[in-house]
Amino acid sequence: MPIFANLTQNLITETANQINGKVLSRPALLTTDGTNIVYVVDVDIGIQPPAGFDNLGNPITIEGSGLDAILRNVQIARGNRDLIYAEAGSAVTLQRSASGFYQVIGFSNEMPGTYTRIIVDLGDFTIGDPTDLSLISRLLTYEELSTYGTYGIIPYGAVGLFLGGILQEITS
Amino acid sequence: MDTRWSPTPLDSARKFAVFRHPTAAFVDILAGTAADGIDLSGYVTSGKHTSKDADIAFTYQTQLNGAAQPKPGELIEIQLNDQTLWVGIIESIAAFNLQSGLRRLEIKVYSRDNTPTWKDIKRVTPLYASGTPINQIANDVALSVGLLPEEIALPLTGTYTVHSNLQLSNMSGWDMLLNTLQSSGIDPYIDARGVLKGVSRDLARPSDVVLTTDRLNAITASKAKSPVTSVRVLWLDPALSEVVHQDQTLGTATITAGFFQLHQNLDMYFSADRTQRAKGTYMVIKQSANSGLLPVCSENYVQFDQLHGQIQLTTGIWAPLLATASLAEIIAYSFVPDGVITGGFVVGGGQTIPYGRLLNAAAEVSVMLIMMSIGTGMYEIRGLPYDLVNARNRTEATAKGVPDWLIQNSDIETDFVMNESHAQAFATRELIYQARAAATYNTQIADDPRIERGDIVELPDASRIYVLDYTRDLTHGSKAMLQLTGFRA
Repeated sequence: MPIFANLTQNLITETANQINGKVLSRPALLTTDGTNIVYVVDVDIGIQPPAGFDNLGNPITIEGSGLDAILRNVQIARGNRDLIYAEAGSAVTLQRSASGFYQVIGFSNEMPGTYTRIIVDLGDFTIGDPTDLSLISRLLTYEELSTYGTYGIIPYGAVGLFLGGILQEITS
Repeated sequence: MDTRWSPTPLDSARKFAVFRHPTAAFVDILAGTAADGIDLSGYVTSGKHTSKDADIAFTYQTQLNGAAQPKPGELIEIQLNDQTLWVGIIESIAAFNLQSGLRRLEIKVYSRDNTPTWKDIKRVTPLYASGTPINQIANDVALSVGLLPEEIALPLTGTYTVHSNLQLSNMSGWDMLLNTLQSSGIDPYIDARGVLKGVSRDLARPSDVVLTTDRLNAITASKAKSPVTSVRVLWLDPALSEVVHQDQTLGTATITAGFFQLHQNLDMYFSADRTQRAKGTYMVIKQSANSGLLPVCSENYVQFDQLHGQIQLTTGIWAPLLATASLAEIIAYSFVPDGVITGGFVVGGGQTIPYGRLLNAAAEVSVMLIMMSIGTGMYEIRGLPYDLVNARNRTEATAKGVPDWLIQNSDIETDFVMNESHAQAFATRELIYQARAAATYNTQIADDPRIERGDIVELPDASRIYVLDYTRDLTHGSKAMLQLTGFRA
């Protein structure tokens, strides 16, 4: 992601102590010392980096950039058993520390939804076709288990991450 | 565009007049019924006004002393050629100067929306149901800040609320109007006579005023800030999204079943506060009530609705019937005369066994067997809890061909977007408006009272200016010019 897009994104998020997000993976055990356990999830906070173009006017971040917007391995707050059972797609609330460290602290009534981008020519006001950059994480269907891999290799209950309807990742 | 006016002819004199209205209201001046006007034109030595305010200086000897002096809160009406040009409220006496024999008084006048009533006082709207036109909300807000119906001339929009229980609160009346009309591409605007209007932020519409070369005097342009290259509309999806959690235990129960009750029904809610929704629920029997001496009941689970189901234990009909029959048998056998069996049943001997006692014992064994068949079951209800949450959709309009290092984003969060196509139109319109608004154009033209804020003025070279404000010099003998401030549409 270009540095200016990073700065823009940070400016947006740094003002919010609490933001809503959408869980993109099942909680997974990150570390444990035998007593304490730390679960983490990937979270979509609904902020895609803006589209950028090179000097020739060709888009350089519009395709495939959506995965840059995912917060990876966000820790789940301790003592919240319900959160451990959050399924991919759950709406959660994230709290940010002063140092920019996020943790999931509970479920939310609001979450990032669809993300659509349209390119507008400011010269003649022509409008391009909408591009779907929505991040959706869900259980793969039986048919998809066969389509996206050799049937029997991907376990039942595997979660697929889609960007604009196109499969990006499979986790189980 | 104010259609009451025609362009001021070139090389013509303008006749300004300034009236003070100690008691009249805006609506009186609008209707032409204000009879309290005091003509102060003879004392005006300088003045100018914009769409938002006016600065007027009076010079006099003693004529405006005491009760004759304009006071804050009174209305000032500026007339051009005997027709109302602009009306505002005196905000303050900006300056007073006493020289030998002469006094100079300067007043600051604001349009009616530039007052704490509009801009500072926090308000709460009524509760609006889904499907309420936003015009109704805007009208209610306007009425609450003191406008009369004849002072409201907002354009009709096709936008309506899509969320139930919508209520605006902790916002000033002006912010409410901005917020409500924003998604329809309309800026609220108090016109020169104090009427609430809406100006369009759409730059693709036809020009309101077309200027000829002889009416254009000068143009200066400057860029005050970097243009916005991306506008993101964050809007609440009216359709709730279902969010499903992993399969998990929703509740546990321990139930004792037996002959004493035919049906044991226990409602099982999926959370203690009875608000958790769940689907695909099922019962896991951790310990069956039938794991005792005799199977006594059937164990079933039924989900009634999204919030709860029921564990149903149905005791075999034979148990209570047999218990009842056996009790009756005990009683009945108590009345059987005790015959004596000598030496037992099979072999005769020296013992006697009362015949009735045997019958009684058989009946008691039957009852005890049933009582021993009571069972306690432990059950667990599992399933997929789910919630219905609001999705905050994002629709981004990005300028084509902007290099990475020039990207500048602007977020607009609103709950007045109806659907995706509405959001796309909104984001596109805002991107064009905000990107163009970065560069300021100042244009000096021959006075044209038709021009209002929000008008698009077309210049002789076919370029167009979106008018954000104007300035008109009221000073006697000043040139009949109008200074327009705006940006290239």
